[in-house]
Amino acid sequence: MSDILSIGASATQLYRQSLATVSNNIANLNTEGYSRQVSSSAEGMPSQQGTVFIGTGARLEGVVRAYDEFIENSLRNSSSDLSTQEPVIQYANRIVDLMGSQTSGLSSALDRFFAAASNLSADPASTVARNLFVRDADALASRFRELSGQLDGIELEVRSGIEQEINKINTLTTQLATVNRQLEEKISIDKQPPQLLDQRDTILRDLATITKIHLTEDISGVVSVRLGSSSGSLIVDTTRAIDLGVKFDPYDPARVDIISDPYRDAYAASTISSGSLGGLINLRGQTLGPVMDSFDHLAQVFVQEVNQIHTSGIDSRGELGKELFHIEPIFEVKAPTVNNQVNIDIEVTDPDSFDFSSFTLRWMAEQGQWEIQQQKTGAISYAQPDHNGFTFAGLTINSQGLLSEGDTFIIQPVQRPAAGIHLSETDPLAIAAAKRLRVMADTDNISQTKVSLDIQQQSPESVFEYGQSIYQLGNNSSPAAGVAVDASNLKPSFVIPRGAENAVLMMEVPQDSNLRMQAITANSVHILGHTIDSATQDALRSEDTGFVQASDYSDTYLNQQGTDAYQDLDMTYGFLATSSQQQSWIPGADGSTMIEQLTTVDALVQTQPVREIENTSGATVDLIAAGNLILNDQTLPALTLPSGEQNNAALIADWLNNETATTGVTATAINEIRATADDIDLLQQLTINGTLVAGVPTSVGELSVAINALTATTQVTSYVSREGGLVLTNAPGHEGKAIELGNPDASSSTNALGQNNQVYTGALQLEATDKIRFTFGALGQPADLAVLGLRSGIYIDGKVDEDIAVFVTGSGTADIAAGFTSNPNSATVPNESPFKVEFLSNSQYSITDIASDTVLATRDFVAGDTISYGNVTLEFDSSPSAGDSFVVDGNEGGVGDNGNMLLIIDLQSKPILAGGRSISDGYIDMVTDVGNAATLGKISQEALQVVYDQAVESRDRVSGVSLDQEAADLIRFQQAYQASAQIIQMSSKIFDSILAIR
Amino acid sequence: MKISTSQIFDKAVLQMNTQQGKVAEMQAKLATGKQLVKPSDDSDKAGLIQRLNSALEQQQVYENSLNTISNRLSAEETALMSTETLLQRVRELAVQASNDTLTARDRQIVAREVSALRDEFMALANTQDTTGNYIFSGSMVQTPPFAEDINGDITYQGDDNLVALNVSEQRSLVMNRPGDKVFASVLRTQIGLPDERVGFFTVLEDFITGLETNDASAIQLGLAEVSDLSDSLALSLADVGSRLEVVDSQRMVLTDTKTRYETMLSDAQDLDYASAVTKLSSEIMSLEAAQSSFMKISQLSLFNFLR
Repeated sequence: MSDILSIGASATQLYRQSLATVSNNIANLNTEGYSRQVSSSAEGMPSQQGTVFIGTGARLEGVVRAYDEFIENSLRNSSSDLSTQEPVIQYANRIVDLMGSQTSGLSSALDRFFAAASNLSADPASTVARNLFVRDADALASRFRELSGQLDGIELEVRSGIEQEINKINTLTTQLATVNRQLEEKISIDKQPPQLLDQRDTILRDLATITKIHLTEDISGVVSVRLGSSSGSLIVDTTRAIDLGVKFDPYDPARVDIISDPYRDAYAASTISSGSLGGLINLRGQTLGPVMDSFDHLAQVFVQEVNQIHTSGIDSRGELGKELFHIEPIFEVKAPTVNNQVNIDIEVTDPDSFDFSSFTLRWMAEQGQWEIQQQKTGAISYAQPDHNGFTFAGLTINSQGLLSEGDTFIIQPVQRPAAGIHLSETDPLAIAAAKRLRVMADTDNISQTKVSLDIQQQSPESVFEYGQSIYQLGNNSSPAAGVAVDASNLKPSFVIPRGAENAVLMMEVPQDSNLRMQAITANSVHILGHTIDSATQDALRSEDTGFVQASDYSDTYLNQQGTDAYQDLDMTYGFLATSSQQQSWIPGADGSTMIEQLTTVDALVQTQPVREIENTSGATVDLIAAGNLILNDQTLPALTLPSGEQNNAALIADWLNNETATTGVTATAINEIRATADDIDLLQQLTINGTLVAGVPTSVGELSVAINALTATTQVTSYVSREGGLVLTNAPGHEGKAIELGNPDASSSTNALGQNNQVYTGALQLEATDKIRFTFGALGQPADLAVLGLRSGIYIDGKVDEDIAVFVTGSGTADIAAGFTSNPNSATVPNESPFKVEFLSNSQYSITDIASDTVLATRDFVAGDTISYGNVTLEFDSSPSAGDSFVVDGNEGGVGDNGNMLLIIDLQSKPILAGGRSISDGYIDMVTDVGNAATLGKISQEALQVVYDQAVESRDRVSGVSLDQEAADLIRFQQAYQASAQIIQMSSKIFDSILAIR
Repeated sequence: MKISTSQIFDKAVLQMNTQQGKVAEMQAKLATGKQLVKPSDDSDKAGLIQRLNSALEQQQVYENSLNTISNRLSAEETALMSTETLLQRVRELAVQASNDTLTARDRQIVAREVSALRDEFMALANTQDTTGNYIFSGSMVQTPPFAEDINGDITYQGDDNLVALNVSEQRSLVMNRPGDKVFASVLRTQIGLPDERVGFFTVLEDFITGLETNDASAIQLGLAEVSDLSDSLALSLADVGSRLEVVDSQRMVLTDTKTRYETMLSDAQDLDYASAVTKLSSEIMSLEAAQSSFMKISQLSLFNFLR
């Protein structure tokens, strides 16, 4: 039934509701995230009256949000992109303003440092200039630290910025999950309250400014959110929010790890590269981290270069410079459980024991002590602090504040050169302004040649091209450590490096070999070995370019001793054993103190078994020719072996003992064959010196008895050792004789003793109160010493100043082992003890070590030549005359010399950084790079702002509230409402008309 | 196209803020007189300014070095000039003494005068500069260059080190001459004896002995050697003079370089006031236009007409 009254009534209702919607729009004009709402009306169902349909008016169909999903999406994306740029611009600009400032930047401090160096170079003797230099060097170090501290501040800010953004994300995702839960109650998005959807979109928009997000929406408007793209980590899974967390690396400021669900599963989240959080992460990774790294690198290189120069010069007291700057480690202290304000103060007091490892401190209130746990090893120790704190691993640690039980501090040392740079040398007089060496022409020189000196800063590891460093052989001179080496007459086999202390090279040679050792310096001074002819002299130096070509061969110091020796070094070629001092502690008279007692132990040597040689020639032969060996400066006669006899220890012992009166060396022959319990195999047979040991012994003891039963024939006795093995020795009166072991069973190479079937020669025990020193006579060689069971060696007592080439000449292969007491890793500079260059003629000069009066080199001279020795090069402005001499020595008293300071000044423009840049250039480039990042960000930001503005406009066009539009709608609906009211009035009048019919 | 009411307001505010910022920036530039108020305004330019400032500072350092060298050389020149005058007198005395008419007594009187002059030479050779450094002892500036050794001979105690200072990127100048080169030795060649190098003071000493012992040949030798000493001293003087000239010419180069850097620095950092003021006016005008247009636009609302 359609009637006018109900049409009017429904229309007024409709327009009242429409007017309410418009009013609501106006009311929410300034509400953030509000989408304009539009009421829509629908025709009422018409009623059929006969064949016609009459309309029944209108009704409110619904109130919907003016909303476009695509526009909303592009608005979110563009807001992510836009907000990415802001942190980069903001922080990069701050870094540029900080580091590029004329007052607080590094450039001005560097300029002042070099200006002070220059000022000092003008008058190195002036304490005022020295003071100013120290002041400006200190200012430079503190400028490094200040800038580093400021960068740390920015880093900390960015770090907490990232943490805040993560917290914001977590809050927003939780809110979204709540909204999603409400949305789930309706089955369709059309049925959702617009306000709820607005709320959802506002949350999403806020999320998008922090990080780019990817959405999936279901039919009822419930959204799931992922980071970045469709493959990103899920942060809202319909009604569940997944929290994010973050972790920073104290060693690498560029690194940030975002973690999903940090308090439960904790897995790595996908990367975040846009939005304000992405911007902050990018800033750390691409700008802040690299700047901090390069600034640290800059500090490191600077300190290294300056120190290298400073430590190679001498100060005004004539002492070698120490390090000008040093870098202290920085300690990161974390206190997760500490409630009170407690400061932990850490200082490195013993740099040698400090090893840069992390540790944890825990306060034990009851005991009043710290429990210290090493992070790496887990080792626990305890320390009781006194008023000075306590020391641990080279550190002194102090705490200030009230400690309570269980307070834990995690301490991590970090190497941050720019933050840890300090001036080490604060004594103005200790500034090394002068070069460490100088050259002076002798005042009596006939020519007036001027000479200048240059010190090479770096020296090669070895001057020789060939030759293995003895350090590579390892410090073990025992026969077992021997390395097989082929002889070479053309190039060195080994090098004893400069700085090597108490070097020993031992050589074992085969029987009758002609292998020999020769030690020669780079300047062709033959110091140890055998006399060689000129062809050999040339051959030895032919292949290695390390030998100075101009130097003449010299054998002045060959095998010399005492003050005649090369640089007065105590050297031996042959064999050497010396007496030693033994230190022991014995109880004193009162029984409570111990008294140190030094006893001299005789020189004592046990040789290897002597060489097995049988004389089958039919005549007496010389095993060692007369004069081939010299023992303690006493030339030994020939060692002869009668025909048909075997070389044995007893024979040699007799030969040596004949000379005891002059050599002081006594020799004892011994022969002992030791079989361990494991060696012994009682199922095998045994012959001793050709006699079969009869019987079937069932124990070692029985075997020993069986052997001893044959002593009369074999001249061998045995006994059971404490370890249950068997020891065979010569019977008394036959000491040192060879013992031959065998097995009648030809298929076995060993015997009941488990020893090889062979002749066992005896060994010698040599003893002397002072020393046992074998050297070679004119024709002697290592093969002669080998007859005695001794290896030949080169022994250099003390420290060598220069690299020494060691040749193994002859033919064949020798086994070589080395020993030394120096540290192979310690850097050594070449010889710098004072030396004199003396011109012997116009074409020849000598270089003499002044302290030992040793001629280090004799060289040919051609006019215009420079003279180099070690790190030093001398240059002459004209040719010196015969008799002229020049002394190179320490720059003693040279307080006015500025040679070293000039080298420091040169650092200002020296390309010490990668890319051939100086330190200031490197710094300015670094700042400019940051500036460029900011500029780039600014340009992107401007472009992205346009995109964003367009997206905002588009959204506003659809969802925004325009007062003009609302006013128009207001009028429209008001008029419609008035008209509808007229319908009601009109229907009343019609009804009245009907009633009025009489 | 529909523009929402809030957008009209937001946009207007944003534009006025931007314009406000530009005005403030121009004002800051005018107030400081610099093109860059802070380095982040233009980091490339800021880098250039830093480099130029460093270079200028460096020139100042070079200028100080030149002054030091110049002072030092002047001190050397003064000492050498006095020495020359004294040597001239010794030479006159030598000529006078070699005259056969002089008696032994006369020669002793001459000897006394030469002896007094020798002491003056000593004082000159041991000249100290204003900071108390000996100028003729090489780098051993705290050791008197000439002193009597245990044999009573006056010998050189300094070293041969030359002290150089950087006076430009490429050039360094030596500021000292070791005393044994200034108070130079002579090569004594006598028949029947090997050549021998004899120091400045030994020459004088031997000459004095010759006078005292009335040894004619020694006096003759002295005359010849004193002439040699004069010659080499003249050379030293000429050397000092030429080095002072080098210092002057280097100073001119330095001034040129400095001016060049200053011009470049001014171009890089100083503000062009005329254009800056013009720009400020135009920015202010834009701001005012934005403000007044906003006032008008914000009045436009349909509600104004609803009565």
